[in-house]
Amino acid sequence: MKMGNRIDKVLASIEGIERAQAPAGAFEKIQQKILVQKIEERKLNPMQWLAAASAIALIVVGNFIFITSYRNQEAELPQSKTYSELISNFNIYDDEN
Amino acid sequence: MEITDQQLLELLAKGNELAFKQLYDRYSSKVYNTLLSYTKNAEDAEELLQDVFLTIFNSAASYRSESKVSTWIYRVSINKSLDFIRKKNSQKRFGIFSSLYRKDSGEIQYESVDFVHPGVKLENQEEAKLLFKVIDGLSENQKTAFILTQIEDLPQQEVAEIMKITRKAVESLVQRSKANLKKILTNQYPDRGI
Repeated sequence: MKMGNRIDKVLASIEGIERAQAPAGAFEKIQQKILVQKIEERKLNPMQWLAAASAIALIVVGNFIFITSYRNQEAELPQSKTYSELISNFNIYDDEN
Repeated sequence: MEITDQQLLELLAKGNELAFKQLYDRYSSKVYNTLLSYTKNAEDAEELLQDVFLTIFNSAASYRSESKVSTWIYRVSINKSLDFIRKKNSQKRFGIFSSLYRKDSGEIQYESVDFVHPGVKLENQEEAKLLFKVIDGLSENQKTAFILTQIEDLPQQEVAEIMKITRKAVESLVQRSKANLKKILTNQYPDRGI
């Protein structure tokens, strides 16, 4: 066969080519990928995890400081104060006898 | 009255999965056929098909109706195909480069040998094998114009819209692609009666 003829035959080999059909089950695989994507979107990314952990740590530390300072305040308060008024027996007529 | 592509895309943007299925039924074979012409591998084409429709699903809300839906879908498919080929070629280059330094490296097979498009007529299969082998010798634009007009059988005007060039430019690209294919075939297979 002449060179030119063969080249023309090669170029014409796709004439009347039929369209290949998408493989069966491909749509289900796409749906699966969409589902995975939705699940991934719901998950927190590392920055979100960091923000949530920081907020929790802040609350815990805040509560700890509040409780510690409250206890210290309680300890510092005198158990009994010696007010002269309290020691008094309120008997204002003692000397009358 | 049949629902238009534009309406399907609007429904999809609102999260209607039935519209997505309808859009898939309308375009899956066109997309798959295009991808297959670029990748020349059924598995790669299927992987890219999933990728294309995932992009359509995710981008439906941001789609602007400046072009037809079919034009947009073809553009997504072509971009994915070209990205895939570029990535594959760079891996191939890296493979050759690294094998220079590894004495025990085996032969790395990247190309699917003798790809036969499933839609080619039986009597044309031998010639079509040769054609698909040399098609990679074309530039990206020539290859796209050749695939869309000769294999996908799209009108030149539609190809022009997909490629964002004039119809005249498409015509010229097709002519040059055919001339280059002839040149490559003559150079690569001189001893096979070509």
